[in-house]
Amino acid sequence: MRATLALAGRKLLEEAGAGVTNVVEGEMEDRVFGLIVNEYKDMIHVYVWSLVRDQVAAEDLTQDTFVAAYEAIGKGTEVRSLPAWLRGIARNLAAKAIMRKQRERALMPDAIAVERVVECFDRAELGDTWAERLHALRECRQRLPGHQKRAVNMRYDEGLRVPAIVEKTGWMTATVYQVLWAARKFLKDCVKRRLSGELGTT
Amino acid sequence: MIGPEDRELVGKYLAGDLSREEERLLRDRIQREHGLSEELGSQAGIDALMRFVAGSIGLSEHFRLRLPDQAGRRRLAFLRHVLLPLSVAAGLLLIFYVSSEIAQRPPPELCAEIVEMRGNAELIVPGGHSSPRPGDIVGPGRRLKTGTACRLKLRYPDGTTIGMLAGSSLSLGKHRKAKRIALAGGEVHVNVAEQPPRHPMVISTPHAEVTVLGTRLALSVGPESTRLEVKEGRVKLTRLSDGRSVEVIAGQFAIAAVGVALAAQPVIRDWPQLGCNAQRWNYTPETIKPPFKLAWHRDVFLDFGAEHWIYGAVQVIVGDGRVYIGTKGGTMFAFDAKTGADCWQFKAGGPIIDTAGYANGRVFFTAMDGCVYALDAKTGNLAWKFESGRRFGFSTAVLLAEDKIFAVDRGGALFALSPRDGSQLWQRPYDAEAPVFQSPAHNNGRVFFGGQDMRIHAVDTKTGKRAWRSDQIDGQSLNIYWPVIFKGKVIVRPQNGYEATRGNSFTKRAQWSDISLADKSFVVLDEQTGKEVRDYEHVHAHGWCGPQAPPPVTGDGYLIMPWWPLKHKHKQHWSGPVLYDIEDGTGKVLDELRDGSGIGINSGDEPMIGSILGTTLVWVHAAGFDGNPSNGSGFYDRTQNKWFSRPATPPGTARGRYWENTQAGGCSAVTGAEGYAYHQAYNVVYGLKSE
Repeated sequence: MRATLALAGRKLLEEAGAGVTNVVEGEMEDRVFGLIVNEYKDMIHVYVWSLVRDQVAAEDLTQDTFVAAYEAIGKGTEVRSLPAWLRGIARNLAAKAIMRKQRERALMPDAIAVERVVECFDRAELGDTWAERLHALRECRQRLPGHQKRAVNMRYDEGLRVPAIVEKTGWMTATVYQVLWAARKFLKDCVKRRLSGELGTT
Repeated sequence: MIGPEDRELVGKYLAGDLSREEERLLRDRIQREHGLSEELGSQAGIDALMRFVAGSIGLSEHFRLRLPDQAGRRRLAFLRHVLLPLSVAAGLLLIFYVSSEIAQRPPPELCAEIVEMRGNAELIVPGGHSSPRPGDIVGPGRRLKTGTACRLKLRYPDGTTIGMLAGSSLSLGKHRKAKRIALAGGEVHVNVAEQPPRHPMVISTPHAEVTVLGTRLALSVGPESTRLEVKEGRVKLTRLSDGRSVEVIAGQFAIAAVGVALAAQPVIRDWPQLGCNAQRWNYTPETIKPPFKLAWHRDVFLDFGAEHWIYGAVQVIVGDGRVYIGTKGGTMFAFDAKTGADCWQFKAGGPIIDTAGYANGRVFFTAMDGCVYALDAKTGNLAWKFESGRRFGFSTAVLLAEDKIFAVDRGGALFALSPRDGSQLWQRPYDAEAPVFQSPAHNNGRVFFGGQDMRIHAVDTKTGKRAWRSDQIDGQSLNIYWPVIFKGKVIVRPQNGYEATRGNSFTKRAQWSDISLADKSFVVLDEQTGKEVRDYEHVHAHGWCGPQAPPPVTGDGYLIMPWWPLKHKHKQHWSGPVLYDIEDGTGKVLDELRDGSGIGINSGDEPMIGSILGTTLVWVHAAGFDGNPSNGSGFYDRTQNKWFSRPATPPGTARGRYWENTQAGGCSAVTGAEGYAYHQAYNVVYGLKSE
């Protein structure tokens, strides 16, 4: 099996120090795939979660994504960018899951929205990785203006809901939503600029 | 355009706090506002990453990948690669067959013919588009877009007609028995023949649904609002954001927009006083669309003599088919609103420094002789004259509200008069205890104006007593213009001393160190208490020779202000109008009104003044609508997001006559009524007709 899998996994194996220099068809299939899962499962989970916004469903879909990937690789599917390909599978599965919920129309994933969600994740073609992206995000958080940083801390670190933030800060409800909106926008732009080298790193 | 309500909906979606109704609303907004979908995606992506980084989402510790066994894999492969594609293909074939059958046979009564067309339009069909021609039949599922100079008329077999104005986009819905129209933007004039009672015609827009059984109406769709005006019959307007409805009858209009009261109101065909209404919004609901051509102009200086200078901030008001304007020579002139022909003139006892008012067949104005005048609007004959008996004189506009005339003199005395006989309605005038050069505004039983004590005064209209007096606001003078009362706020723009007060710290947005930005030029007070509201984004705009003009108010609930964005890293030396949202506790720039043409953009240091004619912004460079070589003046059509140039200056007028500086004396905002826009600059009164 699996020249494709072998090629896709070669870099991972090398990075993992597995000492594999000649991965050939049929060899170490599960080992390679296990490394792929370990490398990308968090990213796929967060990606799927951003689409379905449900922990259980996101975990199931992560599972299904890797099963489907395993099947596809078994059929010799050519893979150019592993993370992008995995996200493509996850997106299709998430779309079906949402449709199964029988809402009158699904909010997500709308094609345009999904495109923007994808921009928040790694873009292998541009040479940045999931790990670099998370690192950039953490650094950008430090650059948030004061009131945005405060709102982000309360919302994400302390896990406060908006009414609790309103009570704690004395801001208007609308203000909290506006500030969080602005903060997320800032973070997205900042991460993008940082990864494209426009901003220095700390 | 993405507004604060959209951001709140997205915020709630991300927090999992959307109600079913809000979810429906968000879905609807996404459908209509494509940019929102992109923003939702960006926000959702970052939100998920932030949650992951914070550890609030992630795979559970028990997550273990379960790969299928070999037999299972084979079964799965068979299902995926053989049965599933076959089923999908069969389904698609069936759908294609059914839909093509339906598409090929639309009911003829639901197809419309293009009976008139001028300019370029586009007919969009599934899979392509073409240039339509008169005689073409447009069926359900098709979309028509009119170009910037195009007008197009559709007619159904039952006689129903739809006139599309320039820049409109309209789709015919696929309902089998009733006419369904979707207007994405622009303006249409619809004449609906009688429809079957069970199948009314429904016109939907991004903000509203209009249900019609038979009537004449005009529908105009802007970025944030839909305006319905009914000319005949009765129409139901339903606002999509909350499902509320209102019945609109002939002679009324209603606006569907988030944050604007949904109510049927009489169509205003005049511009009866300074700012058009008592809140001084500089707004008329009548949409008067660009482009304009010059219909007439009257040079009062040349025609009537050198004493007839017109002060800079005086507005041309319109009532009963005439325009009225007073001069420093003390004469009130009335011209025919359509032709500019002389109607009458009346000589008062002193210079007329500010804008007149029109109500119920009478023209009211103040003069420097300390008197308030009421004239018969048809004849110009004196109806009554109120003599204040004070030596100060009046240099502000009259205020018409609550069936009363309010006027404040230069000594700070505010009078309330009966429009019938000019009698005083309060025992004593309100005394501001300071000189007053700013015209008053009115809302909710109070009159508001600023004094030279740099305080805003709020006076109870029943008693003539002070409701509140604000703390002193920053700035040097409140010497011209007026407060704007909007969304529970009193908005004033003081003269702020361009260079005189270096180092003021209230420069939230601006950080340009080359020039000190000095004081605030934009002050917001709470209408109830007079306390200053400070939690808003300050918009800088400066004038060398006087205060900035107060912002006009749009029909969908925003302010438009000039903004000199010195805070930009490139230190741009321009200013242009921005859409500004003033919310409770916040206030911010939403959008810059630019289309790349350069119109509307000014050098940055000179005042600009705006008026809103329905969905049209008229933006005037303080140095004169026709008298300045800059490109700062123009018309902005909010339904097309496009600027239009002002008409050419008539030979021999305006240009070069700078002996009356309209910057220091204030700048006149354009007014409009019955398809015309009016303006005065350098003693010339202009009538511009919408083409």
